[in-house]
Order: sequence, then structure tokens, then C-alpha cells
Amino acid sequence: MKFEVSRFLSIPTLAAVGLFSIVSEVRAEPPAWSGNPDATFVIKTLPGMMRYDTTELFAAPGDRIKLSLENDDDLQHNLVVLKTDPNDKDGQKFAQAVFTSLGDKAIAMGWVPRDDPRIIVATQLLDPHASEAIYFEAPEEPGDYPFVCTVPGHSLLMRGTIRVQKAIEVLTDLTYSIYEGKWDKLPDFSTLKPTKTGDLPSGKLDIGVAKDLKGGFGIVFEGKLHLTDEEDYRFFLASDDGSRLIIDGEGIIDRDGVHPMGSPKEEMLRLQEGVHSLRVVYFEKSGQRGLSLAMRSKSLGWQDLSVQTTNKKAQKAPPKPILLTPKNGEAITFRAFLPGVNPRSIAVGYPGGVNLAWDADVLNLSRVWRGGFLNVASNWDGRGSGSQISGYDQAEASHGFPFQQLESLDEPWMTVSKASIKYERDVADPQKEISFYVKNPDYQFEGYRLEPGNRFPTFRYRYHDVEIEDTFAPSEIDGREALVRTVTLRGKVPEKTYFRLADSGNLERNDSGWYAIEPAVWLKLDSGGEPVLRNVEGGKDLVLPIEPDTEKTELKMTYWWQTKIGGRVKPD
Amino acid sequence: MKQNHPELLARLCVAAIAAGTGSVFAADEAPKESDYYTITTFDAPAEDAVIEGGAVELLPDDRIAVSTRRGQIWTVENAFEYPAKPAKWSVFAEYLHEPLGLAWRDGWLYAVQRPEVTRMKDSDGDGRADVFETVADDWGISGNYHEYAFGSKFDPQGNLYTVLCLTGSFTSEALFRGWVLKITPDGKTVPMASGVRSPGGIGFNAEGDLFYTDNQGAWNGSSSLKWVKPGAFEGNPNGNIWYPYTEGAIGERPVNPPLTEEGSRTVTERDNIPEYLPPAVILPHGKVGNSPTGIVADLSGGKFGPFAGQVFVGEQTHSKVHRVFLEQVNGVYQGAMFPFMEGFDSGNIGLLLTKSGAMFTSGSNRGWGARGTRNWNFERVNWTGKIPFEIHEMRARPDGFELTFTEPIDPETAVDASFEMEAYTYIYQKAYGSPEVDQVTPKVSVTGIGDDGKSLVLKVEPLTRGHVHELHVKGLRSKDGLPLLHDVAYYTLNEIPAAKQ
Repeated sequence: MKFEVSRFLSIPTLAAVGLFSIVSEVRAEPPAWSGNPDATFVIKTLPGMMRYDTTELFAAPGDRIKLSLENDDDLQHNLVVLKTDPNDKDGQKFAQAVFTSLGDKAIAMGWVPRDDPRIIVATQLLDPHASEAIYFEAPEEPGDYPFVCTVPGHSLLMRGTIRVQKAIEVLTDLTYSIYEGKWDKLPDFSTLKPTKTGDLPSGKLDIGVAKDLKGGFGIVFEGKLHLTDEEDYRFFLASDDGSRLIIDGEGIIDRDGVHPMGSPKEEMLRLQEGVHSLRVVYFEKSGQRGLSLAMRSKSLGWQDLSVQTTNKKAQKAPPKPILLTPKNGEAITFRAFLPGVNPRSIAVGYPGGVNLAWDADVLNLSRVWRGGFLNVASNWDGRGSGSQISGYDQAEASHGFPFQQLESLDEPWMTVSKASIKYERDVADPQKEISFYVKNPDYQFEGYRLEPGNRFPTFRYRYHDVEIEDTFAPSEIDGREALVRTVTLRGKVPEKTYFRLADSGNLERNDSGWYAIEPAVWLKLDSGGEPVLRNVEGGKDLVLPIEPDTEKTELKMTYWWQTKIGGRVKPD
Repeated sequence: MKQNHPELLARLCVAAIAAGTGSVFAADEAPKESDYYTITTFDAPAEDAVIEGGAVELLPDDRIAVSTRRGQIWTVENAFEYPAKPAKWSVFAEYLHEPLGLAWRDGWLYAVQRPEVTRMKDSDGDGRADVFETVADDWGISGNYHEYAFGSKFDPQGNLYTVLCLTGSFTSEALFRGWVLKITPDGKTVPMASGVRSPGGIGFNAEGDLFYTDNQGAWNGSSSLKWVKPGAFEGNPNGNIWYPYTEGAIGERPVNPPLTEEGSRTVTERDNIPEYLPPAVILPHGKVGNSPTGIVADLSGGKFGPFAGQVFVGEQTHSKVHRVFLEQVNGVYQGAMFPFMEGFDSGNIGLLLTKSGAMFTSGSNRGWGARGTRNWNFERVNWTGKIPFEIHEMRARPDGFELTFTEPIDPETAVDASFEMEAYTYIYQKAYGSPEVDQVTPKVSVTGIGDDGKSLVLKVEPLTRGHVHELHVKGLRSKDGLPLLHDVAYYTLNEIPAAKQ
């Protein structure tokens, strides 16, 4: 079942249809231009994937935008568009701060601090299978404006960018020639005589030039395409009926034949900088008509080359999910690229819906989540990109390496071992520097062993002369998911070695010994010593001194999801 | 072992009589690849199984292991006998990161996967690996899908080699992307050669020298088979930024090739860049394939047919296997590529040719497409025992080429008019690919026929150093009256041998 929660509904109606919503404010009326926006976007949430289906939108400064959020997931979500902030480009920090800034009011406020000056516009907190349209004007300042879901934990994956770009003259000297005739396929226009010709100073293909004709016509558009860089260009062509895109005399996209618009056909090609000839041939037999052409590149962004715009801006539908699920009481230990984890990441899904990502670049637990394990579609059905976490309530464990020698407690923690180098791409005098991972000489990853029966992995690595095992077991506390981690050190531990327990969330211990590293995820040290709360460069963290010269040390800790799924507070 | 072709000849005679001539073959009666080599296609072990092969290896108990792009390692029993005996498939390991190298040694199965070389073992005897040890991980990955890592088999000293694709099509953004690395038996990583763009496989020729295949693109006018000579620069300069990290394993960083728009030529830059090694055998892009992959030498001593000692190269896009003859002239490898077989079910990636004379190939069309329409294939090629009439070897001479054949030739047809040649090269440039350029149409004449009746000498005027010499042999017939099974050869003439004093 699906129902539209538009801004026109009154609060009582909402309460009647909403499963959880407690709406605390009256929604704004839609603006006068709501029926005639410059751009219309639809963003859907993907079921069980903790993602928006669209992560990039393009708009011109001042564009009047209608943005609809359709929540197809089984959890509540919202969408908040933010002003740019160089310290929080993707809006994640903003989303993470919502919990702290709103406190008890967070749920009632739908996780949106409405008075916050960073917010451009925000949806309500949408129930599963609800939708809402919001209206706003794109900022006058070109830039990348982030949008996020501010429900706790969601912004790790649920975010995207609205790229506001000035319109530039890409297509000039555009002319059209209209031909009359009834065809089922594109004719050879060079053998025909046009009935009308003219210019299109707007630089946008417009089949409106033939609006007086009922059908049975063709149009040839010709113009000059101005490109500022040599790079890859993607073109998107849709038409009703047939059309073809020709660049520099070569056919690029063919949509010949009688057919409805459909979704745009896409083709990528590499073009040199400079002026290229662009030609689009089009015909309409009868009935519905339409023509849209757009292009995209790194430096020019999205450019509509026709009056009619494609509704879905360049966003290909994501591949059909391939959900990987532990079976037969066995864990899955899966090596893949994962968002937010260094490239040598290893995901582990345990039976019972507890999951983690272990990072073999920094030899440490990276994050934990519960529910679904992974969607591996873009890894297994594409060229081999990353997989997506498909579950809920992620928490990032301590960032960076697990152990470090601290001469003093003021020393910052090493998060990653990097160096920088002058990057080259066929230039004689490279200037641009890139940073890249180098191995930390104190560490060596040694692999993993799968336990008989349940195939739970034990990760093995060396730190100085200490052989370390890091292993996990799913558990349950008060009927909610938990994960018990055991870190075993064998060998001579160097002096002043510390283990970092956590570096985010609320690091004040509560009465029963838990730290809320995420609102939904708590951490407790079960054995191994007494942690120290530090406030150092880079923020607060919780470190644990390790006794040197011990043959064997065992650290035990528990990660516990102490709420219902979805970040809502546990009911009493 | 020589075989005649009684039934084939009978067919041809009927066709010839029907046509009323003595030498014209009806198209459907001409010899076919399948008369000489058979392809056996294996069925999926389960309905949802996806065997997108990346590498194939022979295990000591005659099982075949195949690693897949989805990260599984399958083993196949009765792979040599199938379909006479049912193939028994088992999953040995799962969820590795796109393993494209597989090699067995001392009780361990080694896999080269994106982040590392891993060796694995089944310690509790349930048939599935449970110990995964990191052997080497001294290279970078940034998370780009281009960052594939292909692995070789072991050399006699126990070294394994890996060749690493650039970060994207054009740049190297993580340590040693665009390099060939040697992994020693004790797990040390030694940089071997730079200049790689986008490899598709790595393996040895019969003499034990190392080669890899590189795909057409920036600095590769065409795809080719390249020799990994220690210290060599293979042509793409963008990975050379990592020379400071080689710790003296190889020499100084080579100078850059010209970074201008107009580019240069391989022969010119060999003079300017001493470390630059020209492609050993160019596999002309678009003509013979688009994406070369695995490399295997024929060490079967004749059990795989008449090509013992030669090299076979997989081709993903065209779903083929090429045959390559290699020779060294003036210290540089060069040679000829011949079509060998086409019609595989998907895009071949991993190849294995056993000493017993069975070739296994497995691959996928995912991401780039292939002529073979299935999404993946695992197939076996066997020699039928009949000798195809083929150009066996094509050797450079100071003034032309010497051709040897698998069967005696009909001297009547060994005339100038039976041979046509064109020669061309590619622009060596930073832009993507290159057209064929600097075309030359040499005059070809037959100047001698070997005493054994299986070879002849061609005079070619002129020979052009650095050019692909594409030879078409339309009119030649075997003594038995057969045309060549494949009547074209592509010789990459890096060096012209000096005349004997």
C-alpha cells in the first residue's frame, strides 16, 4: 500500500495514516509556482538498502525545484537539504549532531532541527511507503549542496549532492530544418527538401518549432558543441518517435523507429576540447511526441541540450539487489570494497543478523551493523565496484590502527598510514599531489582462520613482535543483538602501548558501564583493564593501557544494539 | 604423428567435382577448426552457479581448480573425461576479492586477489578451505574497479608474479599500480617492471620467460603481448611515479615518452628511452580481438597438436584463443600471432594447458561484453589427432620471412601471387588507442622452398622496423590440396636480423 502525504494534508489526516509520526508543526503552504517548477526530481529510498536511489542532482542557480521523496523502505526516513560547509561537505557531521542537539525532542521533531540556519529545506519524517513533495529555490551561489537522512546512523549511506551550476553556452549556432512526410524509420534527410528552417538562439533543441504540424514530420537540428576539456562525455537521448545523435559526423546514439520516449539511452565517448559539430535527426509519425538530449562530464556537469528535460537526471536505476545472507549457521567472510571502509575491507555476516566490517588496511574493526548483511549487486553484476551494506544501525568502531605507543596521553591517534606523491597524468611537470596508503611498518596482516562448524573468522596480524588475534561472536542481551569481541595478544608488548576502544559518540560511561558510541549502539569493556578518556587533537577518545611484558593479554568487549531497529528508543 | 584426412578429402572431392573445377572449395566444405580441435562446454554445476573464470589451475590429484570473478574457487573432478564421466564440482573457497591468479604449491592453493596474494588450505578435511594466509600485500589499491590484479603460476624457483592494472584508464593513484611485481617464496615483494596499463593475464613462454597481455588504450595503440624483462618499461609512463619506492630493486626512473598531442612511434622512443621494451607481439586491435587475456605455453610435447613450444593467448571480447610464435632477435622478443580458435561460449579470461594436452578456459562477459553470448564459460579444448594445415612458424630474416608449415605444401601453389602483405604501425601516444598508421605495401616474392617441402622463404621489400607485417596467404595449398585453416599472420618486426657474414 502506498499513500501520498503531501503538504496539503491536515494534521488529523496525518495522524490517521501515520504509523509513528508525531508531527509537531504545521507544514508550509506550497509556493505559487509549485505547479510550474523549473526542475522536478524524484528520490526514492531503496528497500532494505539504507540508500537513496539517486545521489546526484543538477540544478541552475535560482531554479525553482520540486523534489519528491518516496519512501519505499520499511523504516522511517527524511531528506534534509543543507547549505555548503567546507568542514562538513557531505552533511554527515550535521546529521550526527542532530541527536545531540535535539535530545529528547528529536523524535517529535522528526530528527530535523527546523531552526538550524544550515537547513535549506527538509521533508517530514516519512513513514514507510509514504511520500512527500517539497519546494525550494536552488541557491544563487554555485556549489555542491548536500542532502542527508538525519535519522541516527542513516547518513553513513543515505546522502547525496545537489550540484548547482551556472548555465553555460555549450551549444551555439543551433539551427533547425523541418521536413514533412510519414515514416516508420528516420529517412535520409539529405535527399529531402525542408519545408521550414530557422535558428534556435536558446541553444536548446526544441521540437516546439513544429507545433503546428499534427504529425508526419521530421526535424534536423545542427549546432556547434563547445567543450572546454578533453574528457569522457556521456550523452542521454530519448525521443518519441525516432532520433539519432551524430557528433563530428559519427552516429553516437541511435533511437530509430516508432516508439514512446522510454528512459534515455546513454553513450559515453571521449572528446577533445574545442568545437565539435552536433546533429540530431528526429521524426514524429503520430500521437505523442518528445525529444530530450542531455550530456554530462566531470568539468561541465549536467547540461540539458533540449527544452524538454529528462525527468531522471542521469541516474541509472541501481542494479537489482543481490542480497548475501549467512546460511546454515555459518558466517560469511567476504572481501570487497565497502563504502566508508579502506579498500582492503572484509565484511563478516554472522547468522542471526549481526554484521561487521574488518579493515585489513588498519588491522582493526571498522564498523558493525545489524539486520541484512550486504547487497553485492554492483560488485557481482557490474565491473567490480563496491558492495553496499544492506542492514541497519551502523556504528563505527574506533578509527585507525588498534594499537599505538603513546609517549604521553596528549599524543594524537594514528588513523591511517599515508604518504603523498606528485600525481601524474601525462604531464611533464606534475604539480598536483595525491595521498596514498603506505603500509605501517609496525603491522603486518597475516590472514584469517575459519572456525570449524560455524566458520566464524579469527583475524590474525602482527604488531611489532606481538601476534594478535581478533575474533567475534554474535550474542544477545535483553533480547537485542550484541557482538562480543575478543582481542588476544601473544608476545612482548612494547612499553606504553594502548588499545583504542572508541573515538566517537558519547564516551561518558553510564552507571552500568556502557558507552553510547551511537544512539543505538553501546559498547562495554568486559575485561582487559581500565580505559582512559582523553581529549586530544582530533577529538575525544577512549584508550586502554596494555600491560607490557605479559605472555598473553586478552581484551574482551561487547557491542550492543540496545534499541528497536530504526534508531527509536527502546520502549519501556 | 601424422594423420590424413580421408573423409574430409572425400567431401572436398565431391565438392570440387560438383563445382566442375579441380581446386575450388565450396565454402561449407572448407576445413573447419572443429575438424582439428574440439570445444567441450561444461554445464553449470547448479542452476544458480556463476563460473566467471579468472584463473584455472591443475591440482595434484588431477582435479581442475577455477577461481571466479565473484570470488569463488571451484574444483572439478573428471574435468578431463567429461562428458564421458560426470563432472563433480565443489566449492573450495568463497568470497575472495575477484581472484585472477591461481597456482598450486606444496599443499597450498595460492590466489592473487585484488588486495593481496593469499594461500589457503583445508585443514580439517571437509573439502573447504579454512586457513587463509596473507603471503604478500605490498601494493596499493584505492577502491577503483579497474584495480585488478592478475597472477602467474610459479616459476621453477617458487616465485609468483602479479601484474597490476592502473587505477583507472589513465592514472596510477596507489602504490605500484601499473607494475609487474615478483613475490618470492618467503613473501618478499620485488618490483620487476613498470609501464603497464590494463593487463588481462600473465604467464610464461616455453623457455620460462615472463609475458603479460596489455589492452589497447592510452600509450597502447593496440593490445599486445609484452615481455616482462626485469627492469623494463612497458610503455605507459603514469605508474613510473613509484620508482622511489622500488628500494633499488630496479634502475632509475626512465625518461618520459613525448607528452605531446601528436605522440611518437615505438621505434623512435626505443632510441630515446633505453628501458622501453616494445610489445613483443601486437594483436591488432579490432582485427583479431579487443581484449587479450591469459597466457599459456604448450608444454605437451605434441599431445595438443603440432604447436609444441608455442604460446596461446586468450581473447575476451571476441571469445577466442590466439596462437603466438615467439623468437628473440637482437635481444628483443618478437614474433607472429595466428588465429587459432573462435566460438567460445563467453569471454575467455583464465587459461590452462596441461602437459597431457588439454586446454581449459574460463571467463565472463561481465562489464565489457563478448561475442560468446553466455555470461560465463568453462570449456575444454582437445586436439582430435588430425593435423590442421597451418603456418607453423614465421621467422624474420634479413630480407623477409621464413614460413614453416604443419604439412607439406603444394609447390605449384607456392608462388608470389599466393602471398599478400601490408605493414603498419600505431601512434605511441597519451591519447586512447591509435589508428593504424604509416602503411606500407611491400612486395612479396617466394625465393625458396625447403627440402622438406614444409617451409618456404619469402623476400619482402621493404621490411619496416617496428611495423606489424600482416601476411595473407590465400592461394597456397597443402600437398593434399587443402587451403590453410587460417591464412593470415601478424608479425611484429621490432628488429630486423642482420645478414650472416
